[in-house]
Formats: sequence, structure tokens, C-alpha cells
Amino acid sequence: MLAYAGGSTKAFEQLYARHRGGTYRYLLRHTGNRATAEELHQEVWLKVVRARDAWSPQARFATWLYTIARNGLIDHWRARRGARLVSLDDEGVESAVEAALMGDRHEAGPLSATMNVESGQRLVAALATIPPAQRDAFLLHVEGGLALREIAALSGASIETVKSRLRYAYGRLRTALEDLQ
Amino acid sequence: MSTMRPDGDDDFDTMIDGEWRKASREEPRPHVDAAILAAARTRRPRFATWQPLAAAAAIAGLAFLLVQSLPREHAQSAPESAPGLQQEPADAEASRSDAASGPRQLAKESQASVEPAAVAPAPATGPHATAAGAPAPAAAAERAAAAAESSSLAAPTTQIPPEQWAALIETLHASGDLAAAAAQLQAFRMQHADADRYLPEALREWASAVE
Repeated sequence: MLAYAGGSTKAFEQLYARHRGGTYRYLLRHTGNRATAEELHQEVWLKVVRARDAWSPQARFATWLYTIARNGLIDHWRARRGARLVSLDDEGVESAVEAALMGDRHEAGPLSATMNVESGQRLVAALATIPPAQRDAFLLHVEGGLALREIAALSGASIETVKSRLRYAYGRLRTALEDLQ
Repeated sequence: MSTMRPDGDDDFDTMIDGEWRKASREEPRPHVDAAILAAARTRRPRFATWQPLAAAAAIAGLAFLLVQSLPREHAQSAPESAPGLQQEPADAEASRSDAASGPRQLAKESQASVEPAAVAPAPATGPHATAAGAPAPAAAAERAAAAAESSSLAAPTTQIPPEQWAALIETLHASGDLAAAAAQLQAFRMQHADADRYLPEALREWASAVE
């Protein structure tokens, strides 16, 4: 990112190639809608482009990137729900967010239609059923490659809370796979 | 089946991670990638962020040069002309909207045209002459004035309409530079016998005291 801020477009291309899939899938799993995910994905990366000069290496690039993605996601839900506060960390609104996600998922017909055959697709389907805060921790971990402390710092939760969310998410996914066997 | 390591930072369940990575392979479509990469390539040049500062600095520099150049014009002519002109404030000039060609231009014209007349009454040892760095001896100034008086006094001053000359005197008087105003009034009187008639009512009393 520093190289890009210094004028190297090649550096940006390398960054983008490394993280494009992760950010896109992070947004896709949360929204359940390809078009929405692409729109948010583009917004996230355009913010990265605009913020290149202000970026300072206080944290890992991935942490910064997923912070932008996560904030974009929250803004998206906020816009869809008017002034009502939506937070990935707020367990109290999880059901509302879940409902919104399910609404999105209904829009994504092809995605939900192919979710019940193979184990991978079963995992994706199982992830969609767990609370957003746990799903968020899982996605930041597997798609963003963030460590526990990075997820904790990004989401404002304690490391123990993040660990608990991850444990719960993995348990649900394992159960989904065990049902296949 | 799996190795759950809740205390570890990396592998909570390697089997789940592996299955997930096999399943989760969606990527943004090419047109999205193209839009993002195009935006990254068409970024503004780095110096563009400094353009507002550069513009402000350029404006400040121009203003400074302008301010520096204006007094210099007066300073060059100050020893020969009315001594108070170099202290003529710009805002006082600007307030004169009735001067057809603008007060500053008027002042320049009047300097050019009334030089000898202005020199004659102006004391060479006056504060302005000294400040201008050209403290000509009084005798020399008087000789120069006397020589120029007969030759160049009349011709150029006739170019200034009496109304504008009166306006100049009013401006100088309003700015507080009474010496310059008096010098201009004396030159004005030498050129126009009925000079006082052109003066505004407010200046009449002051003008009567100027010899």
C-alpha cells in the first residue's frame, strides 16, 4: 500500500489480486446477493484508492481493508433500514439483520438453489443460518485471514468474545457436515 | 474428523477451513475488476493534492509583488513630486468612485504633469523626501523647480480636467496627507486661476489656509 501511495500502480494490482476474492466473498456471504456484493466490493476498493495518501502502516493492510468492508456493509444495512441502527456486534438486532439477509438471499435464487448437494455448498448454507456476529468472525477469519486479536480490534469485541463466536460458528458448520455422513 | 483448537490463532478446524475454501470460490466479475483497476490507474498525480496550497502561495506571492511594486512607483517620483503621494492609502483612493479614470491613474497623471509645481512648495528636507532616500538639498530643488517651472509646467497639466484634479486633492486631504494635498492645490492654482471653485465645499476652509 505504501508503494501504491508512492505512485506504483503495479503495487495496487498486486494488492487487489491478493485480496479481491476475500473481500468479495466476505460481502457476498453477508449480503447473500451477488449484485449487492459487487457494488459494495467496488465501493470498498474505491475507498482504498481514494485513501491511499492517508494510509499509514499502523495496522496490517488486510485489517484496514476489512474494516472498510465491514463499515460499508453496516452502512448498506443502515441505508436499507432507514435510521435504525444496525451493527454486526449487536446481538439484539441479529434477528432483524438475519431477516434482511434472508430477504437478500431470496433475491439470489441461483445461489440458494444450489446449496444442498455437496459439502461445500452445505457449509455455505449453514453459515447463512448462524447469527451475523458469528458469521462475521468466521468470514474475517477464513476469508480475510485475520487473527483473533485483529478481529477483536476490528469489531470492538474482546478476544474471548471473538473466540467464542468462532467456536460457535465452527461447531455449527461441523454439524452441517456431519449430517451428510 | 477435525482438530478443534479454540486457543490457537489460526486453525480452529482445519477440515472445515479446507472444505470452506473448496466451496467458497466466487470472485467478482471482470467488469467490476476492470472498474476498480481503472480507478486505481487514473488516480490523480501526487502533486495534485498540493495544488490548493500552491495556488494560495501563488496568490500571496502576486499580492506581495503588487504591494511591493506600488510604493516603488511613488518612491521613484517622490523626490520630484508632491512629497505625500507615497503615503496615499489605496482604500482612500478606491473610495473615489467619481474619478473617471481611477484615482491611482489620476495620481500618476498628476505626478507627471505637476512635477515642477509640486517641487516648488515642497521642502526638500521634508520627511517624505528623506524617507525616499533622495534628500536633495533645498537649493538644488529650488533651482530645479525654477528651471522646470517655465518649461514643462503648463503642457502636461492641461491634460487633467480640473474636476479630477480637485478630486485628487480631496482624496489626499481625506487620507490625511495634508502636505501632499497642499502641494497639489498649489499646483492646481498655478494651472487654474479658479482652482478653488472646483474644490468641494468641505475643503474650502482648509484651502483658504493654503497659500
